[in-house]
Amino acid sequence: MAAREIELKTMMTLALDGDSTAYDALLRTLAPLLRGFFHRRVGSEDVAEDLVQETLIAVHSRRATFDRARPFTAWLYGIARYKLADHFRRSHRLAEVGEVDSELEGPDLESANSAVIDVERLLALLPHKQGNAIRATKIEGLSLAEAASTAGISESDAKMSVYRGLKRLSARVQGRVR
Amino acid sequence: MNNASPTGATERLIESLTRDLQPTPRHAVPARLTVGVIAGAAASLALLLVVLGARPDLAAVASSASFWMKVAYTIGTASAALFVAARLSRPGGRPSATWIVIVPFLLYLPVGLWELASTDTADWAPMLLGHGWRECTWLVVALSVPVYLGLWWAFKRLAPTELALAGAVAGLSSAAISALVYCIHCPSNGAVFALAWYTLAFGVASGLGALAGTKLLRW
Repeated sequence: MAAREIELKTMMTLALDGDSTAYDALLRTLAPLLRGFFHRRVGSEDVAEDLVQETLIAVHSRRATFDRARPFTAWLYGIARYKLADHFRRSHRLAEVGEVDSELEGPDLESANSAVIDVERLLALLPHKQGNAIRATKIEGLSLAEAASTAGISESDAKMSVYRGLKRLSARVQGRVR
Repeated sequence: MNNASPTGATERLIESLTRDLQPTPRHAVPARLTVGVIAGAAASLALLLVVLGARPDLAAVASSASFWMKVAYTIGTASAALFVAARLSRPGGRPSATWIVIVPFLLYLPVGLWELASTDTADWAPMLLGHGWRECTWLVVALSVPVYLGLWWAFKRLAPTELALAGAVAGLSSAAISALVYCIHCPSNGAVFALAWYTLAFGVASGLGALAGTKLLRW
């Protein structure tokens, strides 16, 4: 554990100084760690993978908040726990309200659309289910029910896929703009 | 084949994140908080000067110890609250030292008690109520809004994980800074007055900051 902390912190410090090889190694080391962390806590592999990606994006976009004088693992799991709590709050709210469409039309997505960005390339970053759900509902203009039956999944599953996919895309686009 | 698996998507994500990596400045967090606070404080000061104006006897009062003790109380509280806010803006930072925000109050308290002890009890009420305690409390809270917005802007690129606590401390920082700004206008110098009404404003701003924080500070 202590050895791992030193190893991860070394990679992070190099990454903060702009070493992209160390950064690549760091993220590749983190992915399985996070996968284990989330999988133990949410059960579903798909959801765990979503959270792994959200956490990696957060590690990337918030990397300036890492204090080199403090432990890396505390920082990392601080982010992971936050994303986990956020997931539980969101899925709870989703189940309660069952109405996400107004949230889907966020300003982040609008500005992303107006910028000239290769949508297909962005969609390729998503798990297929999410990419397809977004393509069907937001680009081809199908209803959620139609999109769900085309993909052979339940309507709530489709709704969740669209929601998660869009959230990830907007995080991605914001991260790139910076 | 690999394309369809979720771990494949994670692979591609890592590749895209690693591309064009830029070095990160070491003091990005304090730098961003400083910019947010200064911009907010400047807006608060501009509002005060335009809407309320400085007290006419500011030059004269600037030589009195009681004026400067009041100023020190606001600066002390602002410094302690900003220190805690900076810690709360980073994941994994245990907010162990949150209690330090009340240290300036505890240091100022004896001054207030001494003021009471050296004043006839019949004059306690006017001393406490000063020239307008309601106005004072609500103006400090109102002037804290621009500072809170500045801190919010700073926090947006940072990563607070305890949103209510971070919001409360941001609210307290904002009110302490706006109280400092308000000293330019505030006609009352007394420690008893400031201990009561500035502190009430700090409490109100902390509560509102916590409420707003749970919504605004999400990331």
